[in-house]
Amino acid sequence: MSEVLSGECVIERVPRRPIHRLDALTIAQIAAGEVVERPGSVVRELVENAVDAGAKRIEVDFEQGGIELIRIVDDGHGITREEIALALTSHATSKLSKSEDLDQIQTLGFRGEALASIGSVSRTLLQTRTADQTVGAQASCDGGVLGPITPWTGPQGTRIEVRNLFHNTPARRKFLKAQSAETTFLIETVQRLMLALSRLGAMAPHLVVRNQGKVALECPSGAMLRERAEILWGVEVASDLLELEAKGPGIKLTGVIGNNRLDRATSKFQHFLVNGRWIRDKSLNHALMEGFRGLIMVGRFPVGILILEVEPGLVDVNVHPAKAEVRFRDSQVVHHLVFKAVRERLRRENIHPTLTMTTSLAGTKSLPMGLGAAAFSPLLFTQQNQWQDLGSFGPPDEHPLALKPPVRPAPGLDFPKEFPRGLGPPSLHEIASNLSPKIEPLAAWENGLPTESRVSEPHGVSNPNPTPNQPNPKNLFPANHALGRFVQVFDSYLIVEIEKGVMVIDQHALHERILFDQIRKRLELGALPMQKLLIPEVVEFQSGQAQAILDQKTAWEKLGFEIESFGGGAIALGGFPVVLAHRSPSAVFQNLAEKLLQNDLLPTREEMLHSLLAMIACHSAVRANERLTPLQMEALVEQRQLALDPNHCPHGRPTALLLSRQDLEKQFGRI
Amino acid sequence: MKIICHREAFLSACQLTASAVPSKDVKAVLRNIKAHADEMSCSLFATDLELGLRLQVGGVEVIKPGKALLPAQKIISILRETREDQLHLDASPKGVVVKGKKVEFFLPYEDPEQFPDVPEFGEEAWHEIRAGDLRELIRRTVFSCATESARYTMTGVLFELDREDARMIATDGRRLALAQCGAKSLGEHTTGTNPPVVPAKTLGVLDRNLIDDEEVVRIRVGVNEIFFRTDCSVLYSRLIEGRYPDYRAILPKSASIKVIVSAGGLLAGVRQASIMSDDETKRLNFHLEKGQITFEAETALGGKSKVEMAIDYDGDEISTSFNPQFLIDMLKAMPGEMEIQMELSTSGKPVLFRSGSSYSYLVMPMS
Repeated sequence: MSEVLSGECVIERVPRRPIHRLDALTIAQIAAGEVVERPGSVVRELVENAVDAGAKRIEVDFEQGGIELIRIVDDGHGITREEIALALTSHATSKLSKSEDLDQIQTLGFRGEALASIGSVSRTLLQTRTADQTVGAQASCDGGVLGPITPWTGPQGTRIEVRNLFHNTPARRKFLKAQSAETTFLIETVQRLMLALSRLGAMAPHLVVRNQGKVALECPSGAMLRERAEILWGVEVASDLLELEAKGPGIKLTGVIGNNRLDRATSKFQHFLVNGRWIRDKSLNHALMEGFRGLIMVGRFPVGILILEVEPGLVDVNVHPAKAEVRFRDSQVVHHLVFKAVRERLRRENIHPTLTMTTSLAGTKSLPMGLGAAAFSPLLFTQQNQWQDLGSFGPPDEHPLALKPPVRPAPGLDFPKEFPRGLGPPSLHEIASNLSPKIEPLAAWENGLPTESRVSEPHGVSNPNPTPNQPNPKNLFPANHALGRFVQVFDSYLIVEIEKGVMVIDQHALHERILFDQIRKRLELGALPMQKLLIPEVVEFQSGQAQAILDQKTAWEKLGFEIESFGGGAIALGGFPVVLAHRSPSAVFQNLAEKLLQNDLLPTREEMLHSLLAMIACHSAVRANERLTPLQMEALVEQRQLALDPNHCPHGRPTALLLSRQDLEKQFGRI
Repeated sequence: MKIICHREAFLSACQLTASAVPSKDVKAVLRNIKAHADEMSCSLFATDLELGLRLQVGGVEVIKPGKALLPAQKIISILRETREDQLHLDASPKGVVVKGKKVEFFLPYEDPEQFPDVPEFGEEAWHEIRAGDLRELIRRTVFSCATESARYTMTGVLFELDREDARMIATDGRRLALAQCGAKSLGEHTTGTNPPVVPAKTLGVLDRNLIDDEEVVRIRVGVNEIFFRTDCSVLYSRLIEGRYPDYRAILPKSASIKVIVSAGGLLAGVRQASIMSDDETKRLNFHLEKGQITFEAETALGGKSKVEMAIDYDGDEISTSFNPQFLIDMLKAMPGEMEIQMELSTSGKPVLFRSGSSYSYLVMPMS
């Protein structure tokens, strides 16, 4: 190797160079690298300045991803002529005067390096006038060189133009992404600022952003959080948002979260704001996810905007140059607050998936949907314990009625899209000629249906619930509901008539939920007994990881795991929770520990139990494709009312879909 | 091959041999039992390549020596369902004809040469153990084997053979069973420092195969195999490779408290009390005080049980708790009248159940 080197090229020793102090421009340019990474960060810094200056209206204009031009105009306090030079110099700020103030930061900016940093890597023009001055001042700063300060007679406020960003630092310019990517980032930045501004309530400035002169985003001054969410995600999403509020010691939480149908493939739809600043925080993401545990599918992410107001002393915002991260004094408390608030809010909602049916046959809008429902099965179970054959529905060709799972087809919810052989859809002609024979058995099925009058007083006399207006999952079934009117279709789903409409239940998912709740109830009270091991099981981790796990030794013990260091990256497992039964303790432990390392958080007792119980429940529940006896069906549906969250199985799939009576009547043209 | 067999004797031999037939479709030919008849006798052989069993069948009249493959499921069904005392088996390259007075079956031909060879016992050195003793060793240990494959070596039983005795040790990490009996070494046969780990399944098959207590079983351990030979059978098995935990280090050296109980009484007490323990808690509390032992259990929903048993004890009070199943497994394998000594020191430490010097059972408590 060295021969090759000495033969091919000559390496000279670098001569000694004296250490010297960097000049101000280089310092500013290096500092700028931390603050000003991309055009978006320029916008963030300047808009935050404008907000701190008490602006009522902020206009942002940019061109070509902000690389060519960013112009921010506000009507805030402005800067006096005397302060201009200072403002363009590093570490000059009006927001902070001594280091103790760092503990009590209330403003958005405070480091005093933004303007100087921007000035050092672009051609910046600063024009400003304060309220009590008749003539303002302007100054330009080209690559850190401050131009002469001249008078300016614009309106009160500050107007900053940043052109040719990074024109004097070609390396940085080269590393900018494509113009479209920078535009996206810039708009994302402004969106985050827009969300942050909601904390100012009616005092929040009107925000306008224009890309090449076209309005890209506009948010009126007094907009509430929900309106801001609407600007961000559109009306449809915003209408499904749930507002939430919670308080803890020194912390206040407000925000909106999506319901369980609003899940997304990434966590990009989760926004967290701490004291008016948008931040990234894994533990908050995790808390939100945990709140939705069991309600949305694994691998999907809930939607939410959560705003935390934390006493300045309880949070350190000075940990990240771009202020995109904060450090909480006690992150567990914050995590718990968010988790609980989300959980509570969702529980109150009694989230209930609905069954949506659509017609796909062009031009036959009024095709009777009821036939689709009847086509579920040739067999209907009646109260007289008789199975009635509805007869075949004609050849199995293309079906005009498609059953669609709600919103997004859940992978686990494979509601058959095709009808079984012999149950093919009828042609229009057949529908016409066969209509009456098919309605008849249906009518038989409906023998015990509530009459119109019973429906108008939905809660019958014998209804035990004295406050019928409150949504209560346990009262979905009328108290005098005659059990026995079930239909099992495909040996996998139960169709049940309830007060609100027709419910299609996934028998496996429901039973899983019921078992899960039963086991959990039994375990909730007691400790988790630990079976000690004669011969410890050794589980291997990377050495740093093992230490992180061992740091939580007592917490693990509460979960029923006794752990000891086994040297290097190995951990000896000396005991495990009895509830694992025959599952391999080391495998379960490793699984849980890896979860811990991913989230920097110990899985909570609840979390751990949840995954264990879901596993146990899944294995003992009735399966799909299992014919149930009428008694079994009855028991299953009856127990449904006892489940804590009867609408979702522990993995988050829906247990039941609802076709509401109203929808049915609408589709039949009755209302 | 042409033989006349006594139906019931042939059936029970086939059923025993079939315990070596693989339950999963590993290799189609292994789903057969290989019959081999020579002038003197007829033997049956089956293997799943992990273990193999060869049995000599009595009551067979050999008309023409030869070999044949008999599909295990079918031949057993035929032998079981037909009602005749004797059946003729006639194997030719066309297939096997099974014929009685009123029944006739034809089994399609499969080539006996495709069937794996029968490993030979070898005749240099071996151990001899009385069948009754060997069976006791198996029954008192094998239930302690691990069932999860995560700790593979612990799914087998450690089998130590010394000059004068044999020991079986089984553990799943929660409890450990050690049983010992006398044995005779012939030709300097010992297992030395690297005793074999025998799959639990092999010992199950062996257990079923040991009918006469007084029979002598010959045992030979090879490099990666073990043979058990009785008068009319040879059981061959591969061994589990891997390091078995050092059980001697685990067995406690001393105990401050020693109590003697009868196996039957203890089993009854544990069974009664554990009625009120459930799958999630599986826990039985032991409370030892002057003159009595109390078993208590509780279900997650608050059901309770309490069973008292008088014992001869005069020491300090002490409490500990176990998974009741661990005790039941062991006590079931003991004669009810057997006296068992319980040895414990403090409540968090393992408890040793001992029966003379021939049996020790160590259980880790719960906390």
